[in-house]
Amino acid sequence: MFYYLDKSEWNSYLLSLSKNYLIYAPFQNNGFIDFQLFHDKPETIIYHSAKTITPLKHFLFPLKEKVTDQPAVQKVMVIGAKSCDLAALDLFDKIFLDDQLMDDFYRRRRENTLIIGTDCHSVDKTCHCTVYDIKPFPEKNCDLTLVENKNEVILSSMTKAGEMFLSQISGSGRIKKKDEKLPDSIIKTRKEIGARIAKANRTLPNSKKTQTVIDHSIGKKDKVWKKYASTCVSCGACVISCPTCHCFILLDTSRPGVMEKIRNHDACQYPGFEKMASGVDPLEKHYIRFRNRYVCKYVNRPQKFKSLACTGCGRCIDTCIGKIDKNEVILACSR
Amino acid sequence: MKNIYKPLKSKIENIVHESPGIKSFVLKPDEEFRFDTGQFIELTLPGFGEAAFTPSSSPFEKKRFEVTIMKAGYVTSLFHDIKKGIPVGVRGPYGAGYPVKQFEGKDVLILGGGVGLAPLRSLLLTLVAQKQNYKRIILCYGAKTPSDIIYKDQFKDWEKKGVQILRSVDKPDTSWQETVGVVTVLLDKIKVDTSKAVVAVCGPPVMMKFGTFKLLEIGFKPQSIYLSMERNMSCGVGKCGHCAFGPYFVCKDGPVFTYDQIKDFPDVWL
Ligand SMILES: Cc1cc2nc3c(=O)[nH]c(=O)nc-3n(C[C@H](O)[C@H](O)[C@H](O)COP(=O)(O)OP(=O)(O)OC[C@H]3O[C@@H](n4cnc5c(N)ncnc54)[C@H](O)[C@@H]3O)c2cc1C
Ligand code: SF4
Ligand code: SF4
Ligand code: SF4
Ligand code: FES
Repeated sequence: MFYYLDKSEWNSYLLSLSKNYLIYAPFQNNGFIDFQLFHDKPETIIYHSAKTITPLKHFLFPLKEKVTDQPAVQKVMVIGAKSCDLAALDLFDKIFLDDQLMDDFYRRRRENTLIIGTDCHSVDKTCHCTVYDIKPFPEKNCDLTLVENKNEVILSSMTKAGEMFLSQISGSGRIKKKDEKLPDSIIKTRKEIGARIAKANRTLPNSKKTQTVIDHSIGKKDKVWKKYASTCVSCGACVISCPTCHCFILLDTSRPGVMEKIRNHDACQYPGFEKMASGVDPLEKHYIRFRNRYVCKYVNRPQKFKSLACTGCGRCIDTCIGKIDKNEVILACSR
Repeated sequence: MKNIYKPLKSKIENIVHESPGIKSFVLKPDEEFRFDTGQFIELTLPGFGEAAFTPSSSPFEKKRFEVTIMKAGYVTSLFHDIKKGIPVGVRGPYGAGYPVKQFEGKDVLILGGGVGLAPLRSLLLTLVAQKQNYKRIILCYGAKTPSDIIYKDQFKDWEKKGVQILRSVDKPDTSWQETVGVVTVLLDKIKVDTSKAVVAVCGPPVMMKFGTFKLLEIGFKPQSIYLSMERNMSCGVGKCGHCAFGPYFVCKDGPVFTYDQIKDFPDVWL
């Protein structure tokens, strides 16, 4: 069911909510669109851009978190999560919400974060979600979806928490009408955007084919790997900006005698990530380390977790200091 | 809910000097601690760091357990410098242990090198405690020199309990009367029906590699060779990615793998 309300009603409701939640939403900032803490000016929220600079994972899996105390329970709302980021939560949930070895810190953040997904009504040069069968509008892993339509906002719930949220708005008398469907114009836009992304990326292999391409490149396409690795500076930006990269290192705080541990993001692109005490390092050779990210994303993680480990957001391409285009690498391996 | 990152406070009750560079630590956790043989723990020196070790004692002992640590780098060196009584932290047990049920009715060969005997001692003690379930228990152990042999005074006792023991050293001293050479030469001296036998291997990387090749050569099936794979580890709980090995996480899907499971990976032997 879709709930329609006037934008002015939604904006004033949001302002009232910022007392109960830390609300993050996409704003324009120095030419970039990224999540920022929301205080005021709800009319400046950018709902329908392509992906934000920061991937959604940082709200659930912060760069650095102390994991030996009780986690603080803070209600957070993230508005404007995009489909590529939402799809990445499949893998995150499988890794961190594992029944036997549950990461309670991730779980609590997940449970206390209300996620509102929004459609992409514009497309970045590097967006290629549709190649991996992801549509450019929210279909899963969020509590609510939101679409702006002229002077209206249309909400729909996907989870129990989303339902509760909607019933609260309904209770406040702000809902104008309920309808079984979205306006035709929105459906049309969704199709157009999807077609645009598909067209721009028509030469790229889908996830299954990419898996084969990368798998077969091991030991056979060293030249390609070496060529592209030559401008990689092992900065790890591709990993930190990736919505599916989950790697971290557990560190003791440097307080002798105190049992405190910090879970800190880590990246296989950093030298020594897999180095063993014996001195042996499976990723010692630079091109093998560079290749590891591709093997992880298209072969190993999908095989182990039966879910995508690249959702086609394109951030690793945008962010690479070495100007390496991941998709160009895949195409070069497929030739 | 249990916090997977929070270590259980434990005390070091005793420290045993095993060889130059290897010490055993008797640990008494604040709470009862159970593990299956072959599972590992993350041992924290609070404020400094942690590292993975496999308990080397019998899993039937519930109050305390032992780990045997080789000085290899930052954290292990710090452990070698500490005195008994100090508090440490234990996370785990993690990973899957040896599937000892599947060993029943068979000859069990244990092939160890250096500090690799640590997890294997736990296995040996487990098998010996229920000896009637296995046909024979054979231990082949190799060390660099006689003084590098760990658990020196315990071999006699195991022999008395029916374990067939063969030992070798690379460099003998004047009193050494057993085999000289790399540990794989011991495999020429044993007679096993490899179709009804399993073998557990743990040791330095080179030894694991050539040990496995030799075992295949004498007829062991890839699915009967159990290898303890070493990888870098951080979380121990299948999340941090450090121990990735093909599609597996060694900490969760291992650390023990049959050769059959891993033989096709490009980076089995490094
Ligand atoms: C399942 C398993 C069981 C094992 N069982 C035993 C055993 O029974 N006995 C035994 O002696 N050994 C055992 N080992 C090996 C043992 O874990 C290593 O020797 C130990 O981790 C070495 O740690 P170190 O800090 O001394 O060495 P280092 O060489 O200093 O560190 C080893 C690696 O840990 C990482 N690291 C360590 N500290 C830091 C830090 N502060 N910041 C960032 N990275 C860091 C580094 O990536 C480094 O490559 C086992 C290993 C595994 C995986
Ligand atoms: S690998 Fe690149 S394109 Fe794929 S999800 Fe990660 S950042 Fe996005
Ligand atoms: S191994 Fe590398 S590519 Fe894979 S999740 Fe970890 S950091 Fe990302
Ligand atoms: S962002 Fe580019 S330069 Fe940096 S580690 Fe990734 S591939 Fe290498
Ligand atoms: S040690 Fe973290 S995933 Fe295995």
